[in-house]
Amino acid sequence: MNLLPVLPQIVPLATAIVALAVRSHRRLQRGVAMIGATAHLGVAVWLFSTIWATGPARVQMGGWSAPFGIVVYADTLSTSLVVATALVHFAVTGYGIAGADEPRRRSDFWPLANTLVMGVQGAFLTGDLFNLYVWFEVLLISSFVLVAIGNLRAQIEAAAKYVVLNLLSSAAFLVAIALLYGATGTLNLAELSILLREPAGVPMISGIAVLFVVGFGIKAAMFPFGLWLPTAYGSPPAWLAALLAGLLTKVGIYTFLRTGALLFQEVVPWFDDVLLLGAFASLLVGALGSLAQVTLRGAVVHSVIFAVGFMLMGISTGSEAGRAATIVYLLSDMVIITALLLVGAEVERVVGSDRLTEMGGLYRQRPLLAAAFAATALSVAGFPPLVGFWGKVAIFGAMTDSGRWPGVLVALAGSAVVLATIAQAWSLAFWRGGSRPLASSVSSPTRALPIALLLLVIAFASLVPNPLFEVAARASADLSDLAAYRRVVLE
Amino acid sequence: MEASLAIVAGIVLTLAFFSLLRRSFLRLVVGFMLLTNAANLVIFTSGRLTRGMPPIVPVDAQTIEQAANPLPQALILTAIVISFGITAFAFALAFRVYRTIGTLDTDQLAETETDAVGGERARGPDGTLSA
Repeated sequence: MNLLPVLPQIVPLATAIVALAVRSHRRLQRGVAMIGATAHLGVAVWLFSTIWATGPARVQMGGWSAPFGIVVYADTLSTSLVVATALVHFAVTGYGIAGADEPRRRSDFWPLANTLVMGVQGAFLTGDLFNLYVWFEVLLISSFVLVAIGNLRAQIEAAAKYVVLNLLSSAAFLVAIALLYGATGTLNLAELSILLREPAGVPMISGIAVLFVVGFGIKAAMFPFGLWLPTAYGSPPAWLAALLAGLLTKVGIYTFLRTGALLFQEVVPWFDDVLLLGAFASLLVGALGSLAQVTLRGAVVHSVIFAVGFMLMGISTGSEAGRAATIVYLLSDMVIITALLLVGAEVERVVGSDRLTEMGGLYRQRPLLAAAFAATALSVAGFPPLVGFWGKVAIFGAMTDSGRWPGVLVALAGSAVVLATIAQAWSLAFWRGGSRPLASSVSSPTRALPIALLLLVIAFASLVPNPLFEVAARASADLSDLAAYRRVVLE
Repeated sequence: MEASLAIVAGIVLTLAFFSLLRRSFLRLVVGFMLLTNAANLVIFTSGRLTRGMPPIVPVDAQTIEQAANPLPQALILTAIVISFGITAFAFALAFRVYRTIGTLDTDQLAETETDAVGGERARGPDGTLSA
């Protein structure tokens, strides 16, 4: 049995254990974290290239054949997300070993960051609903502590809200799993995809789907369930928020994609419409919320809700092209938002404040930082020819193809508002003359390198978007080909 | 048996939501304990409940018709362990809320909402902007 698909979970787990064992030696612990993140990225790329060459694969844990055992399933969609996650993990670890402040150096930060990543990878790679629930809990518990480390009032308030809403989401998810098991007798996604499409149907499927949408909606930060996000991502340090914002809501989007294709689209008639409404609301709330912020970070974290709206819109088309467009957006957004928050962390560090009114003069004094901000922020707004633009154009194409062109207008309006936000942030923080001296003048190469790496990825995907589209098309084909999924898992 | 347990689960769920809607953070945590227990009861009920029939397949048979399904009970074990850990964390967080903010009234947890994310941020002991 080839255990390669399990390695992206094993490596962070091993890193977490070793980092915990050497917790009294902080320099050693940081070294372990960096080596672990590098190995993780290597394993992820290895898995992706293997799956790309051989097609989807599955591992039956404990040798129990599906649908009785737990299935780990790797296709192009899962493995491309695994690579993006490993890249985010690598960049944030690189920044963090140099940029970590005292509370996060002292505490068990590195083990927790690694268990968080393990949970994310587990959720991407599982083929079983209950196993998905377990991985969700793994990543949630880690993120709860990561948000609260440091014990500032803002963090404790944010953690309280974040914990409450996400526990509610887990409970809804768990009850939905119980009802679905009671109705079908299985939690294997491949077998469920067969049973749900039988002509007799499954009792209560609409009610079960409501619980799933609520559960996943809270995790993905879909409006009106996403209001935990601005404080939870706004109160820990920006580079840590980069890890959370780069990964957590993306897992929610992935579960909507996967369970939408396998279980709900075509089965539950209202599923796409509810997703579309949630998408519109998230787009507008995210964009307008972003415009209303007085801090740079506030503007950035609200744009995460905006991006969630865009991706939900792509999923709600229910077509293979729409899914491919969503995957393009999802993969690029993971890198973009992480890069933007790392740049934001540098800006906060250099200025000594994150309030836009206190910034100024950065364009003259930090031209490289200004350029990095412009590139990442304009990517979020979807300014051509940056990579964010390609994802948006693809989603617009899928929307008009499925006759939902009014949605394009809503999305364009939202994008215009986000562009206005960025123009405002640019003119306040970078363009106008500085009124006060910068707090910190030292720029360390260890902090700059991870940002440069992410910018390089963004630049490549912007100028040569074909490989990204090719990966997304293949991922969408793997996702939409239910017969192949069942064959791989159940044979 | 299933019907009565389903009703019990419904009652526990009602109590859980009643607790969740109270303003004290501690009651909220109690609400969560009830909520996860209600969810576990639903899982338990979904696996068919029969008295005095161990789910052991006889040597000469492939399946057994009436016995309770043991798999949901295994799922509950996992869910119980997870909810145990989360409850412990939630209580620790409740303690932290009380220590840091000085109250358990959830309406008082709104300071960071006033200007969305920032506003007057707390500064760390070394004077650096910490959030």
